[in-house]
Amino acid sequence: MVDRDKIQEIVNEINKVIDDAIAYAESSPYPDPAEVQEGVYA
Amino acid sequence: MGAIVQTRKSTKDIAELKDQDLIRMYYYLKLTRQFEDRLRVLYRQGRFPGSVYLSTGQEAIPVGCGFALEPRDAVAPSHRDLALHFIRGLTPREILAQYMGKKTGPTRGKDGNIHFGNMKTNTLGFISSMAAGMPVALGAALAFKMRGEDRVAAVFFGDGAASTGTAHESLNFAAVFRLPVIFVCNNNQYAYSVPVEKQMAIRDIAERAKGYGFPGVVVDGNDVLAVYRACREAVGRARGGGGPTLLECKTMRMSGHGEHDSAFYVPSEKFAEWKRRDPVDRFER
Repeated sequence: MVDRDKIQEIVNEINKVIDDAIAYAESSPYPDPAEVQEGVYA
Repeated sequence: MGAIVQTRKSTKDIAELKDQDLIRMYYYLKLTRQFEDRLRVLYRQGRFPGSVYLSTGQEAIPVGCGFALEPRDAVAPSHRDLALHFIRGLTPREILAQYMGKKTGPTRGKDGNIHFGNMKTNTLGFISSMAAGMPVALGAALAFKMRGEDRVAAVFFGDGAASTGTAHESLNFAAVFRLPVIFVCNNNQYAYSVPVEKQMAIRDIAERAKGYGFPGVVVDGNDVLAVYRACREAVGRARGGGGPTLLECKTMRMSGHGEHDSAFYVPSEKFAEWKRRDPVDRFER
């Protein structure tokens, strides 16, 4: 069904997705402290 | 009679899975493994606060069940079921933002860990207290039944949670009301540092289902196709009005409870034995 090349392709693709996710998360803002009680009901 | 022990004898019983499905299964197994490997590194580099709870060695359970359930079904994942979130559409970006306490995470920075759900994808939020997610999943299953909806609920928990009073009450409630629910127990051999043989005197947790009046099934939790098949059968039974199933997936937690825990109490031979049964390697072969 898949050979070693295809597996390596999947691994490489996932590594790119993860690299992108790290960059995205690190550059994302922290929440505004004013929002701390939003969605908190108890 | 004890629990039903189910194995996957061939690929014929999973014939509905096309090649593309199998490749997608592999993708989610690998995505979860590689993502968590990186998460471990980021944690050790101090790049996010708190701890991290990984599913290394247990990925076949959320992947197999994730493929056996439909998007309309409700799931209540545990902290070892990251793959379920991926399968249901949460992205690595969102998960990492969650761990880093950022506004772009599912809880918008209010939690820096795995306590999140997503009502748009019918994913119930994880509750840390052991077995606390079970009654919540029962509520979803009861609602589906009362509304006459063709939906089921699946709740994921560990062997430690299976020993709590909440778990027993949940199993009984589901049985009495014949709810469309699948109890997915990842028996990963340890409840934090307590080995399973020191917390129960039975071999299979699935045996308990008989006492409540519904099927209990033991499955190789490191064989994604066996998990898929067993969960698919349980889902079919629940949809058909046959009530709940307790699906015990035998597996092994291949690290500490969290990355702050060195797992010094686990014999190295045990890790070596289970490493040979690694779910990702097995599926790759």
